[in-house]
Amino acid sequence: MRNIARALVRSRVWRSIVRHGFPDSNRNRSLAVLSSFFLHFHPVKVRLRAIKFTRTFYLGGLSAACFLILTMTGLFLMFYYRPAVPHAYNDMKDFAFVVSSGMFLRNLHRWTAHTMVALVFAHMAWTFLRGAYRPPREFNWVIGVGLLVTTLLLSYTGYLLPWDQLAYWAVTVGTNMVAAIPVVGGEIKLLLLGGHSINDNALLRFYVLHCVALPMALALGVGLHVWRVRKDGGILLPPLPKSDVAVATPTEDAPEPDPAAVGLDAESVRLVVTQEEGADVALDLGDEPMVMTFPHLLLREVVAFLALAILLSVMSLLFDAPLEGIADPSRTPNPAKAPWYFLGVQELLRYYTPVVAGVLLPSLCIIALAVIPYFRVNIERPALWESAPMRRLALLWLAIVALSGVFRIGATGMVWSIVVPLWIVGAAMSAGALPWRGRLGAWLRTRSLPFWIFAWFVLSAITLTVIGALFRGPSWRFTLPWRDGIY
Amino acid sequence: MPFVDDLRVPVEPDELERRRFLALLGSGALGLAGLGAFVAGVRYLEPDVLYEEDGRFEVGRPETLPLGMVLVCRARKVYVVHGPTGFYALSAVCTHLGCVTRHEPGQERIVCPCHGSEFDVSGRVLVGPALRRLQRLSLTLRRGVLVVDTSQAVDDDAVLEV
Repeated sequence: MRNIARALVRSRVWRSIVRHGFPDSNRNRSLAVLSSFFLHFHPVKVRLRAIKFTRTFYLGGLSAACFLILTMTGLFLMFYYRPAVPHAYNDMKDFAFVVSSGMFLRNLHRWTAHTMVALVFAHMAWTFLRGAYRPPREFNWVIGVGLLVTTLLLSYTGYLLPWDQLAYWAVTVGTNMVAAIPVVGGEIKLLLLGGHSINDNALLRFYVLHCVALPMALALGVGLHVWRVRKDGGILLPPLPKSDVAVATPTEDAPEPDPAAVGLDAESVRLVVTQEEGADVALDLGDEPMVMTFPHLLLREVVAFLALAILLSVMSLLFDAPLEGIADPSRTPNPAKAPWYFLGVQELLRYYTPVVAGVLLPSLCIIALAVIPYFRVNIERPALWESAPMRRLALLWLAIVALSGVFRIGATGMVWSIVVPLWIVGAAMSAGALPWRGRLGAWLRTRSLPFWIFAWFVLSAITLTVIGALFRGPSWRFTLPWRDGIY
Repeated sequence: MPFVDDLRVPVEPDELERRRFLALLGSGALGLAGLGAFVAGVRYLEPDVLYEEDGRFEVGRPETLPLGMVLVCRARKVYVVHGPTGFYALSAVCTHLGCVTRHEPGQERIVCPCHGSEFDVSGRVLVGPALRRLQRLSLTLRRGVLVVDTSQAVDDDAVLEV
């Protein structure tokens, strides 16, 4: 058996496909990455700290893995699904009762989509907290914001395809929000639906967007995103503590590995990551422990992907994707809830007109996210409370009260789900002014303004979503989750 | 073979101007073609013929609708009301975000299930978030039968006196 394998690997045909030898030396391991189309976006060697799980939790990579699973399962679903009004819903029923493994594939597609949205959000939050959006990566952060929007659009267009009540009414509310855009809203809605109501044309358009246009855009964007990470010298790592100050600086970094254990030798030292000429990157690889991509990074990638695939498969075996009655344009279910990641917006619609809640606030959020890296306020600055703390405290609370007032303008009531998080964040900020000793005080004092704004954004989004998901019953009235909040 | 650095080849001022003009002409033509393609693309996506149902439908004879009665035409998303001043038709589509409102017989209110808007039977907003009143639709009498046209909006005080 071994001889056969060896003969195969040595055969002319094999050598014409894979042009390097078996990856048991660092030279061949380098070639395995360098000469492979599928691996060429990896460097030959990676920094050991960069591939540590707790450094990134592999959130970006797992989002991409979800996209891969979605592409595969989506392709399979397309063999049976017909995007036409009499058929679409029946095909959903066929997946459940007629097609072999149909329900499993549909479940996998659905749960992977939800997981992807969650992972993309988490990836963004983690990137923000790590400060990895800073120059020279600021445009890559903007691309990332674009990818988040594309992910949400993909999820939204896919939502209509089952053609059940859930789908129909979520999309009705969504497209009417689009129609609320000043001046061009009506035209965009007409182009999106291909008519005045959600019908055959709308279903076909959403199908084409969901299966072709948006995935192509996302694939292109992901390629660009990953490529730029590579060009900027891999993922962002804090500078290695210099050996003479290492004792003074507490760090969570991995201990120095034994060079022999990670496969560093004289041969591989020559294959250092080449740096782009003129790139604004300072890759000081002086003391950085490096490992070969093959197998160290590839193994981690494979294990992470398999763990995700197993988790999602188990979920798909245990829980079925929801399917309500066939879409009935004359009967709105009560309540009609959007998917969870849009419930924050739906909850806002309770307070504001569609122009404000559905257009203005989300656009402001997206614009604010996109421009974060172009304001250099987040970069190492002295603590806020060092001079004139009382005056600054007064100014801060004046700003907070004014901001709370702004959110009352045009609202049907006080928007507590936004205002209370603002106060909590304000209180946490003010706590930094207290003469606290110890780590908590130091931590509070060293957070920057964008951190607090981001914390407020995340806290409000979570509050709005939780209230929309669990505490809203028929006619969007307040209720308790165990009474009739969950739908 | 010598390397010719065209950035260092001297160019006559006339020649430079000619090149600039041609470059402007070329990029202008390209821009116009792009704009044209965009307009044609949007125009392509705008359907010219819509196979949507006719907005007109018959409701019945006005005598069958007593004063104060609200007739719910669920399939057409229309309420036909016999109010104190006459008959009128109201769209049941909520002016907030397009959900279909509900009206239970004998009740004074029309309620939207999506975001909690409430209207009275004349279409006026009682409780937000909706801002505009329910749209009144064309209601005519043809050969003794009430006919609603959902594709024709009318004024908020329009009534049909019979």
